[in-house]
Amino acid sequence: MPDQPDSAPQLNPTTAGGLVQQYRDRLARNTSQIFAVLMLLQWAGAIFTAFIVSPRTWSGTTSSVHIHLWAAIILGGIITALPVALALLYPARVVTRHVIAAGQMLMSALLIDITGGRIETHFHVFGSLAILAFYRDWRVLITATIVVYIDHVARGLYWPQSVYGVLYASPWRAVEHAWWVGFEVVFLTIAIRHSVSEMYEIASRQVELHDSNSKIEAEVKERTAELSSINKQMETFCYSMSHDLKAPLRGIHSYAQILAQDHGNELTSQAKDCLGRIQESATKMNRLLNDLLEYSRVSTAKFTVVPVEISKVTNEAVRLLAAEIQEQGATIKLEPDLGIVLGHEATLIQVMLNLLGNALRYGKLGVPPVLNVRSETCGNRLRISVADNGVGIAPEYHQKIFEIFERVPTPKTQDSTGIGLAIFSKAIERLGGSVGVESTPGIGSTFWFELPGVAAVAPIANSDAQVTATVN
Amino acid sequence: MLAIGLGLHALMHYNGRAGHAGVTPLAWPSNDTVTLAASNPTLIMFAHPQCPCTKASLGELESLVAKAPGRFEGIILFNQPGRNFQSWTNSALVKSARTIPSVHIFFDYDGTVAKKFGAETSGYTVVYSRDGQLLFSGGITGSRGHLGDNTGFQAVLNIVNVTPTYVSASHVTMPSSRSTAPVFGCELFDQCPTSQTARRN
Repeated sequence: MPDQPDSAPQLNPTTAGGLVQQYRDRLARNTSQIFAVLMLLQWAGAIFTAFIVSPRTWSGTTSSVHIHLWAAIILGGIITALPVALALLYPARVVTRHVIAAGQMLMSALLIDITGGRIETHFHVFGSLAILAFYRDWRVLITATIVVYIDHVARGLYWPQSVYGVLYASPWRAVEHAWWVGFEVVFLTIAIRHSVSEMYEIASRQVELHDSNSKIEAEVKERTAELSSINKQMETFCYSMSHDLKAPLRGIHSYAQILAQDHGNELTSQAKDCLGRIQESATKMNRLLNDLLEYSRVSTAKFTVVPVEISKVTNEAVRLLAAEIQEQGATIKLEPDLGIVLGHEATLIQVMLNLLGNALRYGKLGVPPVLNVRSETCGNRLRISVADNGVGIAPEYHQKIFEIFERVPTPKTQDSTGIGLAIFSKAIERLGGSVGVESTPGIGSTFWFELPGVAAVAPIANSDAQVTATVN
Repeated sequence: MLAIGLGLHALMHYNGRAGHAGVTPLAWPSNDTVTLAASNPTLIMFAHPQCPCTKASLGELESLVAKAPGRFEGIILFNQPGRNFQSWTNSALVKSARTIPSVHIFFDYDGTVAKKFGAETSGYTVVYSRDGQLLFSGGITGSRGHLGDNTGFQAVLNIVNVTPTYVSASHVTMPSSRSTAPVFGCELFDQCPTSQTARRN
């Protein structure tokens, strides 16, 4: 049966009062559970003590079970039953803690009696008060004090020798005994009130912090949305500009070509040279625009990720680079089965084109490029690497080369647009993967990328056949 | 609450119910086991070797020894009902009594000596002066098995602290009033002597 809240109204947990109430409820539950265990242990301890100290009462040579043992079992059980039941069923209720307080004091009285009034057992009273203070409710201590006082007054009236050792005791003796309990209660009450006050302070600060965090989060969301919007606008602008520039560039290139073809023999050698430079510049500009368009595409396009065979996209890239490979006398070594990843086929063809193309372009002078394409499993991901025997890259450029327009300052990179590796990095990032490079100048480089692997269960005939996710 | 109240009442009633006190002779009775001390009052505590309540009496006796060292001759006489109860001579209570300093332990076969002194309840204590006059009889605990302030202990303490310790006491005026106090403990002897059925603990 769930613990129903007391009749006091439940405060809003986002306010300081609400937080304190939540914390005190939790504290009450924990303390009640502590007492449930403690009271059961006390009951067992009382029975054990009675069994050891006074198991039987004697009359000459005959004996019977000592009343202390019966008291420990029966009276101890009665004293323990209700508080434990309430502690387990309704741990947070106010009535529970008061019943526990009364029960604990009655158990003190029983233990003192069973142990023959040992002064040490009297400490159980003071120890119990200290544990009752865990509730952080000073009213509970008042209940305990009242029970102790009633016990002393009643026994002082009817059985004074059991409390004071004399046949007739002044009523003020009861006050004196209760005074010492009250002495502890006063200081525990002070400590409880301080503690509760601190709770409110902490809760207030928590609420302030929470409000502050919420405001900051809202601001961050707003700013992120703004930045996102600006990024999208920039990407769209970039794409539009690149796209719109292509037409006039085509015009420049075409007319330069017509001029060279139709009127080449009328031009001076200087004029021919200028025309050549115009065509060359137009070609470079076209390449730059193409790369920008590709970068823009991989940054904004919606991918539908499907299982893609790496061997297939690599072979396609090799086919597209056939002329360059033959021209340089390069050797491409591919592992027989490079595995399957979750990706986008066209994008991965572009990725392999960039990696293989770079490797061919940045070979050592006079040394035919040798490229090795491998794959290895890294957990649930597949790492594809392209290793070459080229000029290598100095360590200080290992991070920068993946940024747009960044390139290693060498004669070979003068013609580079500085966008190829940025396209590679952006594409893999958007597919949920990661990229990296290991390189030593003069030895060569290994570029790699990782993507979620797919266990091959059947040959994939059509990459569109298995749609697993869409990347926005 | 009613059950708790009744239970506590029964406990209080049991703890506060004094045991039987027999007739203790005003003058020291002769016997073969214990002798009257010549220089100090003699205190004899009669105890049942198995009575758990007598632990408190032994505790009070130990307290007396501590508060009035050398001012009385302390004797504990444990009842031994017969040959079948030989093991009682080494009970936990007897062992506990042996740890009290300056106190002599004796065993009273069939309670012969106890009957001479009128002891019927465990913890029953008598104090005789050097010249064999009864000064105190009764218990030195406030209730069954409970340590703490009580009239019996206080009376004995007053007696042993007031009584001079030098041998020649002809010119000393001894306390003329005899003190008594209720005794709380198990009965030393079976209630029905004709149908003794020993049940060992």
